[in-house]
Amino acid sequence: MFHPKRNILILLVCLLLALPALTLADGHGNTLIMARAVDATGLDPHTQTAFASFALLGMIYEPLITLDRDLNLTPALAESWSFSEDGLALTMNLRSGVTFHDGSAFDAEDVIASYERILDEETGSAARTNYLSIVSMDAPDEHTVVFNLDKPDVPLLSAMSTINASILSSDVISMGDPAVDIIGTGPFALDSWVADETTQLSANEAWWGGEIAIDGIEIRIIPEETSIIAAMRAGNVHFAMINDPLVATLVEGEDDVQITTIPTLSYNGIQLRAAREPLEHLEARQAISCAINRQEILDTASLGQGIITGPLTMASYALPVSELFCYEQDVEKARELLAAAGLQDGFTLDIMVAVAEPPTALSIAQIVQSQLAEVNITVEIESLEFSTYVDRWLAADFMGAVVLNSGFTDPYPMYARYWQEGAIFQDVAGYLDDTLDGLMKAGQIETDPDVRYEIFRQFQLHLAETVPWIWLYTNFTYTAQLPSVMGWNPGSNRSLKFLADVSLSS
Amino acid sequence: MRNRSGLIGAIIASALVVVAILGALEITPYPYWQQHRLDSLEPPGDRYPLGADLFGRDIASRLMRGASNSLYVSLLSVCFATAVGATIGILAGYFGGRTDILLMRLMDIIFAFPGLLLALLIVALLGRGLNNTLLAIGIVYTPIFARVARGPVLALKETEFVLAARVTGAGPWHILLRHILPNMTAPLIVQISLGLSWALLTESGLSFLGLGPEVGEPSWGVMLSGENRALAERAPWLLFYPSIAIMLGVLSFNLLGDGLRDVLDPKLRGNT
Repeated sequence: MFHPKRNILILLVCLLLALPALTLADGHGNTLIMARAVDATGLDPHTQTAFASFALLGMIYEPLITLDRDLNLTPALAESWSFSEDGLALTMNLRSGVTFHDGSAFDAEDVIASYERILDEETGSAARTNYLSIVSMDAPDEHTVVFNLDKPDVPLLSAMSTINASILSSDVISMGDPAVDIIGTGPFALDSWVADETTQLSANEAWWGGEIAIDGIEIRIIPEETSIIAAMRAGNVHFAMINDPLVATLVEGEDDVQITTIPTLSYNGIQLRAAREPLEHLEARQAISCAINRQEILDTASLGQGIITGPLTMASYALPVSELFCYEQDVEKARELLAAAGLQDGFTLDIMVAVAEPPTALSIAQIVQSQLAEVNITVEIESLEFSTYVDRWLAADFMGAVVLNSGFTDPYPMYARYWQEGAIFQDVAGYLDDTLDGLMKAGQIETDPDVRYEIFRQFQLHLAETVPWIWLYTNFTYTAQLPSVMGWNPGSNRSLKFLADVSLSS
Repeated sequence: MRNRSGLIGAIIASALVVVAILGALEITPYPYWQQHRLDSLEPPGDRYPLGADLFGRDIASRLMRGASNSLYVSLLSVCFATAVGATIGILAGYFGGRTDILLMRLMDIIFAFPGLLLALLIVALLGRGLNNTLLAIGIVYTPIFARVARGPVLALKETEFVLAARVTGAGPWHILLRHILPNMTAPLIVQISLGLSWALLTESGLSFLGLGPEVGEPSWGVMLSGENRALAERAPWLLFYPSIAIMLGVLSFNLLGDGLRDVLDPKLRGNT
């Protein structure tokens, strides 16, 4: 029987249900819809340590120097820089005509206020250790800043290129709260941030870097990366950050969703705390290093998506792993080392992992557990929520931890926070000896590239032999994008600041 | 055959229990924890009848071990809920008055929370692990058993044989244990059977959300989570077989519960 009213009602209901589908990615005009699984843990660029925070803040804030697509130092808010002949003064010539997102002008006062805040212990800056050579700052004019150093500091430039060295508005530092008042100079301005839900960014029309083709970016947090891929296949999301190699390799070769693989300097590893019995025995730590098969871990946990690495991951310093202690699995040697330490019956190694951070952490732990069982080392795995994991890590309350640590283009800022007397994470690192401390200090001030290379060559050999941690492999990070996203080219740099170059085709 | 579906449920449930016992005794094709990393993601075939996971662990062996963990949690949590819930319901129903109000309002408070959410909260507080999971599920389902037990007690305590026992000087505990409890077992047995399917689903849900057994120890819910989820498109057998196992478990307990209700309920006898 024909019921016109009922049919119209059904049609209306169908239209209402279809409305959300009409407001998909294509319905957002010139706004890039982006998805990722993990949100930033905070918005203060000086205190954040999480990759997820760096990704967001890297679009909003800028340091004086930045890294280009090939990870070379390149000007950002400083147009040029130079060291004095004695290496004790670093002069930064600032870019003119730059404004913050609130319209205020950027000048030397902002640079000095930002570095004073980073160096203030009360700020709790994650990278403070990297700037301790700065004893004072002068501003001869509003576009020049001179950093006065107590010793030549070669890696200072590399340390200045990180998000932790972002330049904030001096007004925000003096009168506002940098964790809440998010005002940078970067290509995108923050309009709103609802933690673990959505972030709205709008293009900074006054950006010094040139015109931005998109109106803004809407970042949606979708905790499951498989769901992100499903949303992209449905056309609901233009662009996504993918961390899990198991997911990224799924869409390789697809026409609808393109994957960009970006090698990173970050490394997967197992932090051991040599302060804990029986890890204080050198042979016990060495036995762990000898008993594991790094290639097998990489091939299984990450489907081969990575590169076996020693302590240094940047190409200019990384040693071939064949030169490092016990990088080929040697179970017999592991047993001999354990016997030498009086641990022939094995011991229990407690390893904590964060759930899904990185996504391969639990898999790495389970493979290590299986490999170490061959030499009677029993691995107890403790799986923790990420926030609990971070709290325990910061409190150095663990025996072993599966980690994904960030890498730098220079060895010194990469490890200064761990392996120097008084370093902020010295207790977390759980190990220090005079050789390590001496090599780090020498590497900081040495200006001759060849001598410096030799210092950090010894540094790697020493770390691999004393095994305070187990280095496994560098990983890749991935972006997925629809074919309508034009101009995305991050090169070897995982920063999302290159989204300033993309446009959306209809 | 008076109740075919009940019989089918009983057969499947018995088969699962046998599999679970074999899993608990580690009588499996391969040790459930043993990694054969060269056989990572091996599809079902001669070597691994149900395939292998990312670590090259045999899915069939892990399903068997998972059956023992999943059924262990389900059975013991329902035992806990029955023991505590039925006791509360019987006491509330028999003594009535303030005891009834106090105990049943307490049950109402627990009942007001969505089951999985409350179980999540309890496991989050106690920490993960099989015993904590079973305790959480047991607490969540206690009010249902209290309600199921209280109803028959209210009716039974007014029956002539109970009044007669009271007149002869029998004490309340004697009456409860000798006269009331034996006459209310039918609804409890049916509820236990149905409770097993809920408990199995809740255990799977908790494990899926990462609050199940310790790392490395499988349960059917665990096998649906973690890296297996990310690999589902590439290796569908990773999710297919645990899903089938959960479906069979829930179906068998439901069929068994329906069958038992039909058999034990005098009003339905002869209609099946």
